[in-house]
Amino acid sequence: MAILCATGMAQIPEATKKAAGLYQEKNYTEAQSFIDESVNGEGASSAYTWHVRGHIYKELYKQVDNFNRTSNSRKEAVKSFEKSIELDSKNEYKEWNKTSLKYLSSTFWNDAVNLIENADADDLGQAEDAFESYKNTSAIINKEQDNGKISMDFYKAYATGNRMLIEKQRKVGADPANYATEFGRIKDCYTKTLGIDAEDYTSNYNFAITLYNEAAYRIERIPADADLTILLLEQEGCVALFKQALPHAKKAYDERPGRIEILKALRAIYLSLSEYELFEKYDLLIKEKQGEIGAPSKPDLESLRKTGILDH
Amino acid sequence: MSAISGEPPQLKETDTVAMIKASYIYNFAKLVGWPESQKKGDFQIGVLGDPSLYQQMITKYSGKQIGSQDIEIVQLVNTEKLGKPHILFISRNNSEAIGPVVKSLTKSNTMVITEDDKGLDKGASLNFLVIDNLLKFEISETNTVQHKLTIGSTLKSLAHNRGK
Repeated sequence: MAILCATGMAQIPEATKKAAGLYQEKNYTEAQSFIDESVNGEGASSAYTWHVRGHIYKELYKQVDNFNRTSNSRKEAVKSFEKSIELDSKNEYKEWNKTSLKYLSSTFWNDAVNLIENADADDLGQAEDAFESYKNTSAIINKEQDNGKISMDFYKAYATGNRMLIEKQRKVGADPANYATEFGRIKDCYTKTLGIDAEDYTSNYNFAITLYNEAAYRIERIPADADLTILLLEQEGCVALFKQALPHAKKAYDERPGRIEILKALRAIYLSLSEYELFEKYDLLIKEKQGEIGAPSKPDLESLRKTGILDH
Repeated sequence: MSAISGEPPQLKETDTVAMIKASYIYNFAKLVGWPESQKKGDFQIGVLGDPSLYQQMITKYSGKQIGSQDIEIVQLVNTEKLGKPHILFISRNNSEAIGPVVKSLTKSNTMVITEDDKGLDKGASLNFLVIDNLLKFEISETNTVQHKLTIGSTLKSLAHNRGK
């Protein structure tokens, strides 16, 4: 993108003019030293100089750093465009600065997405940093921006990325302590999404399943010759997870009671909590839904209500 | 900007209570003293009802030993051919059978395990109970002694209740 020409070229610092010329010639490294010289001297309070600097660093990020997600040039570009907006009392460069910031914010977002999609144990944690950078950069453009929807999308996907890592570990029978970081992140993700919307079906359902699966995996891993003390301890920890899962599963059920997936989740949780009447209630509902048994006739429903099974 | 999506997690539905019960039963087998006459041949564990528990026992304990005895898990569908297993588990769906079964095994060295509020009153040696959603167990020393079995101190100390 070409740099917007400055109005009143006479007032532009020489070093800025030189840097702008080098930028047009695509000599970004050379341009960098002139523009830095300018912002540290005459150009420090020039909106145009900071605007030029933003463009030079943006190109350094693209051409020299090759879109590296740890690029310092990108951070400098954001800082420069922000500074230009701050100094631009006549709004001469505002829209251009905003366009560039929008582009840079999208690169942070894309980094976050790529990190999640690659789900690599070593750097998945950086996805959240990238998302924070995306939000901070977007906020420069629009301070009133509502990040609720995009935060929901991000944290749900981030939870999925972490879950993928956990599932890989579980496949080789890993000790849950080996993936405690990822498990903690998933809990944080759903705590955040539910903080945005406590009724959100997906968050409640996914959180419930995450907690249930973790407890079930821990129980499966109990060694055949585990003594009673270990068995009791493990059981306490797992029942605590099942109990944490239950309110989320109930909430998901309240939102979409007709979904078989949530009926199965409730059935599994109640069984694990040894709540047999409630287990049977959901087992019956699932069988009805799957057509394994006919819907109970009226007298049957009446008798179930009398037992309290259908009172929930 | 790239789209972002999250696949929902898949429920790994398993009978976790059956898994815990299976581990308990294996521990009971290890922590109870059996008469010398019972220390020969296979160590039989009968499961009346609860196919899920039977499956867990097979998966986890088939091929293991109690002392030098190979564990043999037997699934029982009714009370007609109980034999004289070392351990007989009676599921809660078969609680009405506890009394008659205990009576029929009076002279055998069988440890009957139930999961019924009145299991011990009906003659079982050990009974599963649920306390705050946790599977625990209670024991009756009197019922156990009647079958010439001795309960080890570990089992006694970890029992929720020790009946007479």
